[in-house]
Amino acid sequence: MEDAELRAYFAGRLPARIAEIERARDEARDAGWTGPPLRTLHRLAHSLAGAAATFGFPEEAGQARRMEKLLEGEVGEDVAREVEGILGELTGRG
Amino acid sequence: MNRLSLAALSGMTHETMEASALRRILFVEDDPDIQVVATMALESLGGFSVLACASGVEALSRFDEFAPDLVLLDVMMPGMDGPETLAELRRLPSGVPVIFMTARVQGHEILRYRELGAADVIAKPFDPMTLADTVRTIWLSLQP
Repeated sequence: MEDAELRAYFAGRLPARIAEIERARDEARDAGWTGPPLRTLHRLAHSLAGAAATFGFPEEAGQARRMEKLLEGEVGEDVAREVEGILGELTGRG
Repeated sequence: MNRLSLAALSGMTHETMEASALRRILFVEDDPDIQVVATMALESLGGFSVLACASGVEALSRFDEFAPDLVLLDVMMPGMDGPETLAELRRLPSGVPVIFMTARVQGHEILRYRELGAADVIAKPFDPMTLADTVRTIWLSLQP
C-alpha cells in the first residue's frame, strides 16, 4: 500500500462522490435548505472532507470542510451561493 | 533459577502474551472509501483480522459472530451514530474496548467521549501508514 496507490484510488472515486453531493444539494435546495436533506448534504460534505484529507487531497478536503462549516448555520441565499461556488471548485468549473 | 520457576515464568509469559494479543478488530464506518483504506491498513500493515461494518446496527448484529478484541467506531454516522452505538455495545456482557475515530477532537469533545466509555480517540484524518501502529499502541496502553 503506497501513497500513489491511495491517491489513484481516491482520484477515481472523487467524481462519484462529488456527483452524490450535487444530488444532495438539489434535494436540500428543493427542501428549502432545512430538515433531513440539509443534514444529508452536511454529512456528505463532512465525509468528503475527512476522506479527501486521508487520501492526500488537501485542496478538496479544504473545499469540503468549508462547505461543511457553512451548512452548520442557517442557510440563506448567500450561503447557498457559496455552497454553489464550492461545488464549482470541486468540479473544476469554479 | 531452577527448572520449575523457569517453566512458570515461561508459562506466565506465554499467557500474558496471549491475553494481550490484538487480533480481531470490528471497524464501524459509514464512508466506503475510509472503510477500504483503513481495512487495508489494519490488515496488510498491522496483520489484524478486520470486519468492517457500515452502520451501528450492522455492527451490533455481527458483534457476537465476529467476537472482536477491539472496536474502532466512527462518531458521525447516519441513523445510529457512534455514541449511540457505544451505548448499545455497553449493554452487551462483553467489555471489549471501543476507540472512537473522529475529526472532532477538541478537549471538551474528547472528555465527553471518555465519559461515554470510549477507551481512547483517534483523530481524523488519520495516516493510513501509521494507523495500525497507533491502534496497537493504544491497545497495549489498555493492558493491565
